[in-house]
Amino acid sequence: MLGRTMSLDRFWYELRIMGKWVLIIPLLIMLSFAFLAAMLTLMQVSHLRISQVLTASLEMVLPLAAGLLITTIISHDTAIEIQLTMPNTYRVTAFVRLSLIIAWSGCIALFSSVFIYHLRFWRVPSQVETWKVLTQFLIGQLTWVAPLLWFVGVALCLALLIRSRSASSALLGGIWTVEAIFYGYFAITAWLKPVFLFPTTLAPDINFWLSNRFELLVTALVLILLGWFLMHNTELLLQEAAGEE
Amino acid sequence: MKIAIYHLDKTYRGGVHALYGATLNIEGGMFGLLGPNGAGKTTLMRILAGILHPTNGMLHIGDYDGNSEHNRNAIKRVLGYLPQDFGVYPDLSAREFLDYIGILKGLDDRTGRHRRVEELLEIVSLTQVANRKLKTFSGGMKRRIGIAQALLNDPQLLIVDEPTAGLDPEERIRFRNLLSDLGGGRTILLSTHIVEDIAQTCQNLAIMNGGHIIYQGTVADLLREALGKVWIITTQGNKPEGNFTAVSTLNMGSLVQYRVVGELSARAGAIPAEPNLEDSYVWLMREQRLPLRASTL
Repeated sequence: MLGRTMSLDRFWYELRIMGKWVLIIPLLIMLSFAFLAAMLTLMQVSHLRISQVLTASLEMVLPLAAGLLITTIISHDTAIEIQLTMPNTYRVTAFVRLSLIIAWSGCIALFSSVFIYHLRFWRVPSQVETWKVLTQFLIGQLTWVAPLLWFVGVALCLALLIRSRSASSALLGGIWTVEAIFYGYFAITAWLKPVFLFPTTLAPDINFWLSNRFELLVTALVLILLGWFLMHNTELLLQEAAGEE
Repeated sequence: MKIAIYHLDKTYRGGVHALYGATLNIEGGMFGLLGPNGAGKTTLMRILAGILHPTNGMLHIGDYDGNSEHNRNAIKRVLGYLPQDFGVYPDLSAREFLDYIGILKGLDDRTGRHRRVEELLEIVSLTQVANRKLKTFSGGMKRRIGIAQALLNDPQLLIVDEPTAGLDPEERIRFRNLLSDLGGGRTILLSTHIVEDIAQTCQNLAIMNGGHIIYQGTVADLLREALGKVWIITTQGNKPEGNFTAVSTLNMGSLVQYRVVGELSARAGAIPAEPNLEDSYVWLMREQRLPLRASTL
């Protein structure tokens, strides 16, 4: 009981420190897309286009937002030097914060996907089209889980290596833009296939959707582990780009 | 708590040398570490606090060998640290911030932690503003919160790095008195470039310059080093010239009084003066520079 109370206090303070935007931004994104979808329905836009928009919100926009939040949180901590002298290491603190962002984004994505599926706007990849409904829905969650964790991993490593919120956010945005514009190359070039981030939205008919999702998950895991080890380097953590407070 | 460091070196990535074979023994009590900006004080403090790892050398804090990761974590449990750039979480109130740091320090019992937070708010005279967000606090109030967070775990070793820099005179005196009150059975390591802070609080000190520890001893011994080296010269306004360093200049209408440190015994009109810590510090720094100057000639 004591431990649980302690954890709740800890989580509460971590949320307070990260700020309300960490909670508001993912929610705002999904509400905006829901509103957009409603407007498109009223305008009698094709069902396919609406489902593409809603899938994009889960697969493309929410993961990018989570990544940007993480670059902000990890690049700059006003009390980093105090944190580094704590018996509870900063690595743990950083990962508690990361977990809260992932968990909140995940909850919103899961909740939204239930609605999207129920309203028959769910974009089903060809590879799993013939699967049973429940399996199809559950495996379909990889649509957002894989890019979310991939963006989290990349954002974590960029924030730790560059130590600049603006530079790492710009790089993350650059990756997203390249993926969105040149998705055709990612769909046909063998060595780019494992890093094709948005196939459900942009190319659901590909025959490597499942392997792509698992490759992204493995890459994300490796990047998150790399981030964990980078956090052992306190000299790196003490560096911060000037003028970014 | 005793601290012993032997031949400690620190080279940052990129090849910047911050410490050169620093050796220091601290028996306990309040100990001052004095030196100009860039002397390596903060690097030494960060190594002692377990934030940075030394490149070479040995470090013992109490019974712990500070060179292993496991021991560094053990040291952190008995450590209180106030960094030079003390950052806070601006949207937390003073009470919440201390409670949060208490959690990080492993004070798991919520009631006990809250009681400790209230005690410390009282000690640093911030109870009245405990619910105000930290972003509304002045520099002096933030430093007081800084010392309160450092004391949460009742540390045996308290490290404070440049705690009075940027504070107004009244806040500085208040902070110095607070530090002196905290002495008791713990070791307090006060790092500063402000000589007056050491003069008012410490009996033992070390002086650093350019990554080297150039002096360790008592304040009284350091004062003796400058005996016969401090002079008062009064002129009509023309600046005296010679092999000395002017410590202060006092304009008294038509006359100007200079307090200088240097080898000046034969000079006419120079009156010997009792050295204070600042004079002794200036004398020591001069002595340090002389061999360098000679080697460049």
